[in-house]
Amino acid sequence: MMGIPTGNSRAKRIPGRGRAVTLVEILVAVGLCALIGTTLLTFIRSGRKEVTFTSEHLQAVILSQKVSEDLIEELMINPYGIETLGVDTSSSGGWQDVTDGRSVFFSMVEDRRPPWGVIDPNVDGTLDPSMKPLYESIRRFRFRLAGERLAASGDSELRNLVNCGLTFQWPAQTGQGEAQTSLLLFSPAAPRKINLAYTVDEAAIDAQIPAALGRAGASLAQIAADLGENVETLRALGRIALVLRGFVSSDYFRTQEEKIRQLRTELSRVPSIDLARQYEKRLEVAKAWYDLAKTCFQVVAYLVPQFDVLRQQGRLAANPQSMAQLGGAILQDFGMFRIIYEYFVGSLIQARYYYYSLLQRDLARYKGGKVQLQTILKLIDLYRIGAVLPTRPQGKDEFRAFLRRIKDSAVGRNPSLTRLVEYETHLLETPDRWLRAYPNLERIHGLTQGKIPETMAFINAQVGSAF
Amino acid sequence: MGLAIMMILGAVGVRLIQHLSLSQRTFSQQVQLQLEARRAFDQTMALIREGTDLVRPVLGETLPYLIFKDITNRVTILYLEPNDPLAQRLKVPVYRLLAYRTDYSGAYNASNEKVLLESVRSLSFTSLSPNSVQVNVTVVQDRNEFQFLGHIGLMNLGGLR
Repeated sequence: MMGIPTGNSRAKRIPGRGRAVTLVEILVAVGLCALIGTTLLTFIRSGRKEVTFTSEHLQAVILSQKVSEDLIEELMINPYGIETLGVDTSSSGGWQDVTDGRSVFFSMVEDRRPPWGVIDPNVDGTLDPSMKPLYESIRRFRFRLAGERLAASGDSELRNLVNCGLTFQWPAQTGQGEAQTSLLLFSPAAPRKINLAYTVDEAAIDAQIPAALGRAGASLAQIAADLGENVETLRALGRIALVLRGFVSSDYFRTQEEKIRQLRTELSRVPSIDLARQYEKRLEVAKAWYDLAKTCFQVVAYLVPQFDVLRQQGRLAANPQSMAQLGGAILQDFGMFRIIYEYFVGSLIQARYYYYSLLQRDLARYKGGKVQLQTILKLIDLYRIGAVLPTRPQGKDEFRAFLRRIKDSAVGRNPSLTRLVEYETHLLETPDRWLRAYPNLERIHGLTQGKIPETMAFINAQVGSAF
Repeated sequence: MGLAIMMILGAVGVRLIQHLSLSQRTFSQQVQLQLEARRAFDQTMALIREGTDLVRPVLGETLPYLIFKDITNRVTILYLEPNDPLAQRLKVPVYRLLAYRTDYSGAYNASNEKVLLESVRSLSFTSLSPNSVQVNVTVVQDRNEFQFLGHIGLMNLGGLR
């Protein structure tokens, strides 16, 4: 039977029964539970946020790596990759969304529909809702890419370095998520510090000049005084004559053509199915022609300034008969300049032909995409030079046609190459801008379009008057 | 009355603990999944970076496998193989990602095979340049899926050729 507490329950306790729980105690217990529960829930929620943030940060790092690789890829083949990718070269680049084809970096993700092997950005892989769960996790991501050359202009090598800052942002549960990456990329835009001209031992040549002028033992000053000519003019004349003779009679010049002929014979004997040797022999022939073209150009580049001296300073230029008195052989040597120039042009075109033959489908497949890309880049260089030769007026059209062919095969397959070709085609529309974009080409153009025709005209005048 | 309140509080406490335990497990799984994905990505990247030439996919192509050559002309293939026990447990098709590198003997050698990832839901390799490959992987664990898009450059041979 239960006892009924009466009166003061604190005072009177029924034996065998515990004390009842008061409302205050219950409230305290509930409060404690709520406190513990809230603490735990906060802890769990915080943990969840941290996990979510880590996941988002991991995605940002992986996406940053993708953008970085794209940049490296672009700059590897295109010195103006920063521009063709639309990177803001000011320090405050604009924001781009990652998904739905809003950024060039994520607009060619996968080939999802036929025709297979060509990615059409209109129907294939942008990062869109079909790419779950990636799309859901990164659709709120945006990024900013800014790039700046360490030197904006001039010949400084710092102009070849681009400092890029890449920032990914997303609205995280813990606030604004941000992942930053900085890159220092090589993007050659400054002229190469090389001498285009052939390096000759001028002291040794100068010592032979009196003999070449038929006055062995005399000094140049004496000869100049006798002829009423200045020393610089005679020195230039002697250098021209000796370098031309020396080069034309050199072992290199005599044997290089023979070497090429032999290589071509060997190539003709290689079965067309022997792709390894076909490739090797074609490359050897192309390199041999290219080497001959390069050497001839260097000789021409050395001689042009000497002709300048002769043309501008010497009184001999105004009186070819007096030059003929020095010896008709010297004037005949002048004719070799044209021959060497023609060798340069002809060898360049031959080298281009053989490099082009490396792009044959079977050979390109056999050697793989990397080698094919290197060959294309080499050919672009050769076509560029071909386009600035005064004796090849069709050079620019040939280059444009080549770019069209490359673009046709690169569209949907190689976005970096496509952008390079489109940029080059665009530049070609404004030749001055095109030349400024490639300082080394501008130097070659300066020689071939300016100095060489003037030199040729001078030689024609001299030889024509003398004989 | 007191007993009833205590029972209610107890029930709430138990439910709370159960919920916390479940949440904790889910978090652990998520963390584990991310770690697994990260580890697999790093491993795959290290492997592909040793390559010098892509054999498949060719330019512009997307395939669920990758074949590349390294500088010593050994061929490596990354491919998927059904992971049936895991697929049965998760009730979705699941694959494991394997890498096999050929040696010069031409014969199969089990030691050349390496499991990169156990729980792949889908995988694709896309070639947009001869110098790199894009990888899109979805990894799965229980009810969680994690997908990432990576871009991995091949070894740059520089002037070696």
